[in-house]
Amino acid sequence: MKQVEDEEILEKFNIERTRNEAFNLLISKYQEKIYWHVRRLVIDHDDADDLVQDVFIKVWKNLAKFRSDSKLYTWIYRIATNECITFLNKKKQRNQTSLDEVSSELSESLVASSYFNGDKIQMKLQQALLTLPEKQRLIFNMKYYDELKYDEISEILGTSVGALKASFHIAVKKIEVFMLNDEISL
Amino acid sequence: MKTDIENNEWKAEAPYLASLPKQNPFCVPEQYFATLPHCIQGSVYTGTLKAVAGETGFIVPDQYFITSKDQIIAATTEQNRVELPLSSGFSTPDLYFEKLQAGIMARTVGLAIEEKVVSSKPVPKLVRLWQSDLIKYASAACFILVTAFGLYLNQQSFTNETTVTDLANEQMLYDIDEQDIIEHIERNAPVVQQKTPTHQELETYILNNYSQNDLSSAIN
Repeated sequence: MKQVEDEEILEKFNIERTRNEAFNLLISKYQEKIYWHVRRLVIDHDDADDLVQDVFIKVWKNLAKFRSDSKLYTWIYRIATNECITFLNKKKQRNQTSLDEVSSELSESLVASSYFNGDKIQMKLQQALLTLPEKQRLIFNMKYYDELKYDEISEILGTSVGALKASFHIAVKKIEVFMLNDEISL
Repeated sequence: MKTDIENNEWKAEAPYLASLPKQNPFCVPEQYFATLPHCIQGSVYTGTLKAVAGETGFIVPDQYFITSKDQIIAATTEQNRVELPLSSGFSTPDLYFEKLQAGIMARTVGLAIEEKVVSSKPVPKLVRLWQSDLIKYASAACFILVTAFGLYLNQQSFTNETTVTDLANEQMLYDIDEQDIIEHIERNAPVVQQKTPTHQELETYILNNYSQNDLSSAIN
C-alpha cells in the first residue's frame, strides 16, 4: 500500500470537507510506529493502547495549528514521547515509588505480559533496558529500534545531538555489560 | 549513509549487542491495528463532543459543595463510630481458633466415635411413667384404696385394744375378794352429813310448791 505523503495529509486536513479523511490517513500511516514507540516505553499493552489514543486526540486537536517548521512525524513523536513521560511520572507519583521501583514494576509487567513473545535473550535485553535512566532508555529505543537519526531525535526531544550521542553510547555500554554479565549466569 | 555511520560507531563499542538480531519482542492482540483507527476516531469524537457540549446542564443548590463537605465528614465519622465495636481491641492467643476448633471436634465428633466403638449394646429405651392417662387414673385409684384400707385397719386396731383393756380390768376386779372391795369403798367413801329439814322448812316448801287443791286431793 502506497504511503501518503505528509504534505498531502496536511492539505486535506486543512479543508473542512476532507478533514476526516486526512485524519484517517494520518492514523493509518503512523499508528503502528507510535504504538511501538509508546509500547517500548510503558511495556504494558493496555497502557500503550490508552496512550496511543490520547496521542492522536492531541494530534486532532492541534494539527490545525501545526506549522511546517518541523516534520509531521517528529511532531507526532514529540507528542507521544511527552505523553509517555507524563504517564511514567504520574505512575511514580501515584505509587510514591522511586525510579528504580518503577523499573522493577515495569520488569514484572514485562514478565507477566501475555503480549510478549521474545526469547530469553530478548527478555534479558528488555530487562537491561529497564535498568537505564528514563531518558537513556528513550534515546536507545529511538536509535536502536526506530532507527531515527540523531537530528530527528534532537528535534523530538529538544536535546543537542552531542548530548544524545553521549547518552546513547553510555546506554549501549551499560547494556553490553549487563548482557555479557547476564550471559555468564545464563 | 549518515545512519549507517552512526550505527557503526556503537556497534564497534558493543559487539555483543550488535550481534543480536534486531527484532521486536512485543506483540499485540489480533486485528489490533485494524481496529485501532476506529477506536481513535471514537475517542476523538467523544472528546470533540465534550468540548462542544461544554457544561452538562446540571446545577447544584447554592453553597452545596460547602455544606456537602460537612455532611460527608459527619457521615464518615458516624460510619467510623458504628464500625468501632468491630475492632474492640481484644485479642486471642496465637492459633487460638485453630486449637478451639480442634478441641471442639475432639470433644464432639471424637467422643461420639469413641462411644460408638465402646458401647455396641443397644441403648435402653426410656419410657415415661406418666405418659399414659390410664396409668395416671389407675395409680390414683390404687392410692385411694390403699389409704382407705389403712385407715380401716387403724380403726380396727384401736377398737380391739379398748376391748382388751376392759377385759383386763374386769379380770382384775374379779380376782379381788368381794369383802376387800366393800371395805375399800366404805373406807374411802366421803362422809356426807345430811341435814334433816325442820317442820317449819317442810311446811314452807309444801306451801310454796303445791296448791291447796293438790294438798286436798292428796289427803283424800
